[in-house]
Parts: sequence; C-alpha cells; structure tokens
Amino acid sequence: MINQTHNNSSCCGTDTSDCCTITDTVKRPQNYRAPVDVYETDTDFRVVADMPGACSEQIEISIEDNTLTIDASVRERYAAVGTVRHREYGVGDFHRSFRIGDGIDADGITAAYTDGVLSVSLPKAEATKPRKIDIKTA
Amino acid sequence: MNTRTILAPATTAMDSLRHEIDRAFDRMTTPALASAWPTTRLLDAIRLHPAVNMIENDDSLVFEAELPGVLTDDLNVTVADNMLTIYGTRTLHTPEGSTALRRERSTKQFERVMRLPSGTDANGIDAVLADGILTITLPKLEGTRTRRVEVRGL
Repeated sequence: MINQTHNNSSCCGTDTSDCCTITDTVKRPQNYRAPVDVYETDTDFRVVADMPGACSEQIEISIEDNTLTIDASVRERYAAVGTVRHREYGVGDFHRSFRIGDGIDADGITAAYTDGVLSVSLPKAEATKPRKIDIKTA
Repeated sequence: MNTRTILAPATTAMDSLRHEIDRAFDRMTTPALASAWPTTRLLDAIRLHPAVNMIENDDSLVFEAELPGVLTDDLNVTVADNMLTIYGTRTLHTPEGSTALRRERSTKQFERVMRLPSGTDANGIDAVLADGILTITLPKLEGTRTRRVEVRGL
C-alpha cells in the first residue's frame, strides 16, 4: 500500500532470511511510543519518527478512518550477543497512531527509513492546498 | 504507594487533609511560576545523556546506545584513561519552508561518559553505528586472574 524506500541496513541487507524474520513465538508485551516530529509544508505533511533498530521490511503504515498508524517490529538483538548486565532502555516494537483529517491523498503516501529514523510524507489532497484567491474589484 | 491503587473517596479526616494539601500545591503553580520552566531554547542547550545498555559475553563487553538520526560524521567516541566518552550532535533535517506542528525529537547535542571496568583492553575497542544504534565492543583482557602475592618477612 505504501511505497517504501530504504537503504540496505545492517539488519535487512540483501539477505533478509534470518535477520528480519521475527521468530519470537511469544509476542513481547512492550510496545514503545516512538518520539515524533510533525511538519507541515504547502504540499504535504511530514511525520518523522525515531525508531532505531526497526526492521525496515516490517514497518507498517496504514490509514483507516482518519487514523494514521505506524507499527515497526524490532528484532531481539541481545540473546545472540550475551547476557544483559546493565539495562537503561528496553528494546521492543514501536507503535504510534494519530488522528488526521480528510485532506490527505492516501495513495500518494511515501516513507523512507534511514539511520533509525522513519520519515513519512503525506501529500495534501488538491482541495486543501493553499490557493491564492484573486480579489476582483468591481 | 502502589500505582495500581484505586482511588477511594475521601471518607476519613486524614484523606480530607491530604486532599486540601494537594489542592494548595496546585494553586501554587501559577502561570508566573510556569514561565520559570525552561523555554524550548534553553532545552536545546541541555545535553541529552543517551541511555546505554551493557551486554557481556565470554570475550567482550558490548555497550549499546540508541542514536537515531546521527551520522558517523556527527559522532565522536573517545577513550582516555579508561574513560569512554560518546558525544556528538544530531541534525534535525527540518523541511524547507515548513511549520512544525509537533516537536518531540528536539534534542540536538548528546554526551555520555562511562568508566570502563578493569580487565578490559581499551586498545581493542570497536564501534559500529547502524540503523541508529551505536554498538561498542570492548574485548576482555586475557587471563585476568587473581595473582597470589608472596609476602616477605623481614
């Protein structure tokens, strides 16, 4: 549904067989709320979210009923490394949802994921773009 | 106090007193006091101290920090005297001619200093930045066993 462009990251390089396959049979209960910046230009809205360590192949962006939802799966990455001795932050899936209005062209949404940051561009529907209105003088 | 406590209606005298004190504190945070909180400009100057996780295996210690949007050019990792310092700047790429409707990712500069434990080889340190995650691998020294010291009698 969404056109996604992404660089080859360490997680999902050319071989996506084992790296990005979520093999956990038990879904981790923790969902993290990714911090987000929202910008508005004349032509679109941009949503920029911090989601380090997400599998770019498994980021889902959807619009339903005026709600934009972003879900990103994050693979568990410590078990293969060793025993966690000191934990200051948790690793888990990211989730964020927004209420949005009707002025979005849902078919034109694009997204890119680089360096742990997801940028989503939501183009405004034609009718909602700012128009200069000419004032006629009689 | 247990956070799952269900708030019960104030039925005792102590509850009423506690309620009154809470309301007195609420009244103290007037708009005048609220303006004393740091403005956004000041918050930008505050350095973020990124959270670090540490994982251990037989060969090394691995430090991991989440630094989304940071490029290797903006990141510095230095080791001196067994102190590991991670510092740098994150550039937020604000789109041209845009207005910000929401800003949650506002911090630009970050810094974190950690003492490396003994028994590790700071010369063999390795740092990788990928997908917004910085992974620093610190090898353990070979044979850091306790040595018995011979005590001489004079």
